[in-house]
Amino acid sequence: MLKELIANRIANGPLEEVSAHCDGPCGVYDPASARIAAEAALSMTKKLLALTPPAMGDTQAMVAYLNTFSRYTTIKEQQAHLAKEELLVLWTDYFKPVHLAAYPNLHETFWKAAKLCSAVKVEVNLDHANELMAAIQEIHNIFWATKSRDVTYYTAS
Amino acid sequence: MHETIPKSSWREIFAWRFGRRRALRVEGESMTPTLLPGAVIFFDPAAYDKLPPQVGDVVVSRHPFQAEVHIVKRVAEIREDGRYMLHSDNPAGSDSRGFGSMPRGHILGRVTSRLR
Repeated sequence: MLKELIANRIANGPLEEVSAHCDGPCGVYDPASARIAAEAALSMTKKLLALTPPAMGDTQAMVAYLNTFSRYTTIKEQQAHLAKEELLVLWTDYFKPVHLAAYPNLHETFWKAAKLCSAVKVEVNLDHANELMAAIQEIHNIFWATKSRDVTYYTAS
Repeated sequence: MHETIPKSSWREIFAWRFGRRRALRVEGESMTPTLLPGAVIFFDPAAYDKLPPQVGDVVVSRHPFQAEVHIVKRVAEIREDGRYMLHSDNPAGSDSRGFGSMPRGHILGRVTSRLR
């Protein structure tokens, strides 16, 4: 159609730009940051559950064991807390009322995921760590759907 | 739902040809789904010579603190002090909720159509 041809010719010509930009962070929200932290917490949960205490009386082994145990626990706590922070930022900064209209279970999903972060932090519970991962996958799906993008969910390990 | 921007008619193209529209290329995603990145819009610089901008109009405006930047936003509210709240159609976009309300003089014209 002639009009389309002319329209394209004008559109492809040199034109000034008009900005329809977002805030600095808006383009770089991504549930991946929460997923990485949750995955680290899951990994630490698995490692803690796999630890076997050394024989009584082996002081050196006990020191190494307790050191390892503490380090895994510390990392688990930190990463579970980080996962929660990342989720809360997504929830309260990225998501807007229109998203809630499209995904009425959004608040419930985030609330549940944040609660799971607390559980993973406090406990050494493989089920809860896996449930947290599943909740983050659900958030991943909603998040990218709101951006009309098909982004495959993946894990690092 | 936000009102869409119609595709340019012959009338719009002629108006552009005779200097009554200006063409701009949209950069960024803050006005999606109304205007996708790469959309080319016509705006009427004389649209508000007689009547002020109305709520719902998609407008081209100066940026409040980036002198070189022109922005495209939708008029969301006219405040009691006569200033305009411009919002992004994309809920993730930056707008008057972040950079503040806009005096009328900053609003350069109304987006009338899009070439694509």
